[in-house]
Amino acid sequence: MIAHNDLLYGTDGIRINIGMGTCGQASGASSVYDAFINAASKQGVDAKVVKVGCIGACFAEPLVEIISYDKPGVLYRNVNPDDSEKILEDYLMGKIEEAWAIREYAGSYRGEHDHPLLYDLPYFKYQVRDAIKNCGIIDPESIDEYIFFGGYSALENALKMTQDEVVEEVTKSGLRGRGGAGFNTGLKWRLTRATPSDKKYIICNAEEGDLGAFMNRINAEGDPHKILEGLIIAGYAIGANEGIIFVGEEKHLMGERLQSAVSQAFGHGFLGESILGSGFNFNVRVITCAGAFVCGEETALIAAIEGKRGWPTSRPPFPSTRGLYSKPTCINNVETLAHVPKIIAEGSEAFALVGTDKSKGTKVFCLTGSIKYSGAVEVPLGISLKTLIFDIGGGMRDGHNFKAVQTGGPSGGCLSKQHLDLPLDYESLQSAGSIMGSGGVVVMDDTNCIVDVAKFFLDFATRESCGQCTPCRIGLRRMHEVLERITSGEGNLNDLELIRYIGAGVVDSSLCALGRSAPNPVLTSIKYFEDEYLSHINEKYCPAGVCVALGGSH
Amino acid sequence: MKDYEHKIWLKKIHLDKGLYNTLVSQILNYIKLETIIDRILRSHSFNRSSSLIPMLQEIQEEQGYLSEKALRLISDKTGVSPSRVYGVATFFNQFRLNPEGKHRITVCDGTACHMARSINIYNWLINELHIKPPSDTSDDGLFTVKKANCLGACSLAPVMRIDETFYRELTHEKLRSILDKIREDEK
Repeated sequence: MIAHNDLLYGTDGIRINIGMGTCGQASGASSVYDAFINAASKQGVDAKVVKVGCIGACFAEPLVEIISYDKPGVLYRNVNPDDSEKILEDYLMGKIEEAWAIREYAGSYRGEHDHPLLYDLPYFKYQVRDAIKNCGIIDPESIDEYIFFGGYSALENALKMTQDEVVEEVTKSGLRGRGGAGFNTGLKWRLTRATPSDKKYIICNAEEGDLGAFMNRINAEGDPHKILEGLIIAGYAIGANEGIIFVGEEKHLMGERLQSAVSQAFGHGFLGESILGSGFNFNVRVITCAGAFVCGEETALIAAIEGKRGWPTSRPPFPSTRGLYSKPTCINNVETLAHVPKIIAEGSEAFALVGTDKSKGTKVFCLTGSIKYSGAVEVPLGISLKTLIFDIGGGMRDGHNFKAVQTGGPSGGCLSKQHLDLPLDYESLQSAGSIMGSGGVVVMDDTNCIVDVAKFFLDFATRESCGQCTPCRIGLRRMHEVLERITSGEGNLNDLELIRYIGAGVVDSSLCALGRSAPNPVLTSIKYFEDEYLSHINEKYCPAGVCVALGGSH
Repeated sequence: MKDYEHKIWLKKIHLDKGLYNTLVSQILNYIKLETIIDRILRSHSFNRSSSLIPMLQEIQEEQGYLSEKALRLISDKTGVSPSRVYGVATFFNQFRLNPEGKHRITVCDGTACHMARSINIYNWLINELHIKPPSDTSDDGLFTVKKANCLGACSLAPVMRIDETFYRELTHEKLRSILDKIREDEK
């Protein structure tokens, strides 16, 4: 339990956390915030009401947690602003009937044992939180709170180590890129470090263009300093003096939070000249992407920062040897960087405690679609899809049956019932034809049409193709036309073969990862759900009742 | 030429009032554009062509869209060729070459929203606001309706954002009351 501290509590020893991430705000958290401020003043208590980030339980928003300096937090879910006064009044009298859960057993409440502990709830039970540990707990706009919770101690440690030692520690931890490809982070740092140059860059990729993925948003909205700390350590390790945070167009709040974190870090001497007296200089600026999915690809991202169209270039040369402004550049995803402070502060062994042989540590997955409990959860790599979907996510909504799960966004694949026991790690997902990607998990039930979803992903990839190379620009369009034909009832038996044929060509010959992976959702869905395609083609019938021309009501 | 010098010069040639006002506002607009571009060029210590995207973003932020005039002026000031400026302006989803409505409605079309039938939300809106694609703005200039790849609020599907406010789990009834409220406030 947190000791009484002027920083965290009002003078009456009370703190009220309101979940005010994008999802909280969309659920009306702003009026809940106002309501609790009014309620506190009506009750005559000086409470500190704080806008915190998202705890990841989007289905429970607006979420409120009341904490006293001598008692653990009490959480209330789906709070209505009109109830705020009663909730606070009851809480002050020690009554917590309306509560959803309590953070831990300590102190005492009347009716305590009617309430589960937060980490006994199935949604939280399997979670091991590292990257998003502070999200929903600390004030993301207060560097003092981040420091109070142990922040920037890893940076202090890192600056006492040699650069090679930092790279070595991260390599030993087995941390792999959390943005998609799963490349070993330590190795990436070493490659950039090894290239001699007068100037190097470190870039934090916060573009997060994947459909169905919002873990970076939650991470950066709820705990921006952790990402910044990871970025500074990475900069020190590879020998870069300039860092760039590249934020996605639609993620407004995330950009604001990161920007304010950067300003505060400058004020506290964690950025700028000779950080903490070490002689290491480091500057960071935040750049907003103008919106293009392909800019998640490293070379396209670099082109966009240089003020050009986001056109990928062929690799090699890799950015580690020739990147931004032709200088060696290392690009890491938000979540990758969020793991770095723990590795440096607690050691590589602490990080590698959970996970599998080849996929160490934890990963944040975003559970969405036809699932009961939707949100972001951080779990050890290697847990099964079944645990994730049924134990954590609570299974399907409204009594529907599970049909498919799509992982890895537009570059990933559609998996079926037969894959439910598949462990979630980089290699297992790949062997099933999908990818980990950024960790989006979209669950489909029997009311979702697999052909329609495949068409949706192809439509997306066709629009977002940069148009530079022919296989991607034209191949994807042709595949989309075939699917259009199938869903409008004019498909024929050769169509599936045709899609496989064009798809294989696009995968083989596209310039960048966007094209090479764009056929994946379609190809895997044909592989695992051929019957549904055949029903569209032969019987002119859409079993899910989605395709309008085939009796659906979309 | 200073702002007032244009006015004096225009007065001298005895234009009718309507034409006079149009010209004055065009010149003022031009001066404003020039000020923005100069300010950005000054604030960017790194090379000029890499400030192209921030410059386009800032001009669009102030003016709501990128006019041909703005694109040409940027090209003149930075030395980046007009074709490259136009290429960048048309490559990225954020940029628009036509004026935007007063309120921007962004309908999310990510996977979760698509599966929650976001297309019905979009169609309802453009129907209700009499927007005829490829135009995306209502005739009264009040609303622009756009689709977004993913707003990252997938758990609340289908979602949309109006200006900076998010709306979750939309239905036609909810849409109706949201629009009614905005129209009421506009009166």
